Amino acid sequence: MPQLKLQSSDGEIFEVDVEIAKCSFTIKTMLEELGIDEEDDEVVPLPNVNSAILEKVIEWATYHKDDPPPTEDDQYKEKRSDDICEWDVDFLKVDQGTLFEIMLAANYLDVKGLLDTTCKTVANMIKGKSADEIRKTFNIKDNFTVSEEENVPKENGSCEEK
Amino acid sequence: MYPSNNLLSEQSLNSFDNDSLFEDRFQKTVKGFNRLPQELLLKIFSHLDERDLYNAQQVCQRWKKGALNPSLWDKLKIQGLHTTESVNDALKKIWLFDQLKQVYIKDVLEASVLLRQVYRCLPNLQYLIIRHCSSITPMTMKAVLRKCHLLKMLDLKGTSFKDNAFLEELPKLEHLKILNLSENEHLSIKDFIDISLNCRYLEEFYVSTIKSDTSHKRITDDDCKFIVSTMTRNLKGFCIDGATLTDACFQTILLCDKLQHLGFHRAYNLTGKTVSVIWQYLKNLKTLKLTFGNQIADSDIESLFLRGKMEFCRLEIVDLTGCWKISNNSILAVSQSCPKLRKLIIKCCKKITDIAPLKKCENLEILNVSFCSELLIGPWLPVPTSIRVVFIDKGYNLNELLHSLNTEKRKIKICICHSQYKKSFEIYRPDSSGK
Repeated sequence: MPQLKLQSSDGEIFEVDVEIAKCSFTIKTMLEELGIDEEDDEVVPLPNVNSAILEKVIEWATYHKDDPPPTEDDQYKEKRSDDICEWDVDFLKVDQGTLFEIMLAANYLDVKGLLDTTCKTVANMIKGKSADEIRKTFNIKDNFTVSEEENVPKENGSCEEK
Repeated sequence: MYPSNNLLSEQSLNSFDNDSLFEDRFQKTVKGFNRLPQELLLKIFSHLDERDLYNAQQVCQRWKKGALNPSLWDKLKIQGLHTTESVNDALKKIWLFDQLKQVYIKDVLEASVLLRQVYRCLPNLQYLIIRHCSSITPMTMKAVLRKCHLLKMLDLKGTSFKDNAFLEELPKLEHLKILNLSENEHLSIKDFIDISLNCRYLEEFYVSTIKSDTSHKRITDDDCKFIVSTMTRNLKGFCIDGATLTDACFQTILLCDKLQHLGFHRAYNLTGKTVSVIWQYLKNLKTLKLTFGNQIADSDIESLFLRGKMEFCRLEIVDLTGCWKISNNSILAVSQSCPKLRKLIIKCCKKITDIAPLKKCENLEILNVSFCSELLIGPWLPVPTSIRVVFIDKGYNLNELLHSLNTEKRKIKICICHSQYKKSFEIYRPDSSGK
């Protein structure tokens, strides 16, 4: 299996199977457009991803390398977020900072599956929480003035029937 | 002198260090959500529903902006509206959220204004629910149905019109599959019959309360049988006000074997014998509502659910409001036979003392036990962890209930019902009572 060298922002070099590296659409296009030959001993620099996060991304891509390619129908919006596979749930049991780093890396490297699974994980952390609880969970500062907050329209009840 | 050279290089080294330090510090100070670009924020929000998006709007400025992005909104619920600002806000939202598929308007005086905005901005609307809005002009309603010609569902429960000219538009809606005309004061039996004849694509028809004044004749067995027979081929959902129907008519309705949602409301004449065999006719039920069934005994419900265990495995909603003869055995039978049960209404079932078997219903989200005056709550109300909403009445000891539900840890909404016969309730909010 041909290998590819990836260099993280802090200079560490990772040798990865080309097929696994191509999980990243960014790397895939880079290889194609720049015509980097797999035989060349060239290093692909990834200045936006540090070694700890790159390692996580490679771990994820290695586990998911045989997944069917993601379907490209963004039109069909899927609201559900309870369909995260068990391995991913375990994999993403990390501190919040790391979780966001992985999400940013997945976005930069354009790894669709990993981006989806991290977004769903964060969405699940928001679901069912009040604004106050959300602020506490993510350590967000409330920058509304009082009058503005009152301007948010009143919540509408749910559960209706025929 | 050599130092100068060195100094220079040291300086450049320092400045380099400073830069990276600065970057590092920047990365460390801009934490969590603030590091995510707007597109990722929206991607996360795309997994949230209306309720969560509402909460997200109140978190901070950035979240408010994100949560109001039109791409996230396919449903909008508008309720109450007591100030001009709230009306303007609703108008703005209808205009802003141009990808809405569903609009729900309830108890709004200015509904006409909103509806004009709806047909101007949302020609592709699919689901329109207008409940208990009494001031809509017939012309506006007519215009809505003309312009929103892709409507799949129209729900006008409790919304009456002085003249029913809008009914002419219904048969023209080729996508209309679901129609709810409950509690509609000025509709006659002839109107219902016309709808069943002319709306050829209709699959679900709900008239759970017919509120006709004395000038109209009451619905008879023959009327109802006629309506059902013209629609049988498609009928997937049917609710009818059974106050004036006989048991024979209910039996005829059971012959519509595609029914998934069935409601016999005010089914005074529905016999226990008919109830106990429903499972033999309808094998795909998701909703079963048998309200005010005076004649339905515990043994009928038991035999219905226990013998229909296989057939009822998909049942999600059960409403036995006002079936005053049933007791604990019925609860046991329902809980044993309906693994998917999501909503259970046993309002006014005054013989029920124990609902412990419901602990087994792992999907139960909504439970109505209002006016179950004999129900013992004790130190804990035995409900599964999936529960989200509990309906009670003023007779309950609220503090005891809150304690038993452990509402501190679990998000449970409590609704306090006002009347045994009407559907009106207030939502109990723990934070507002604390003031």
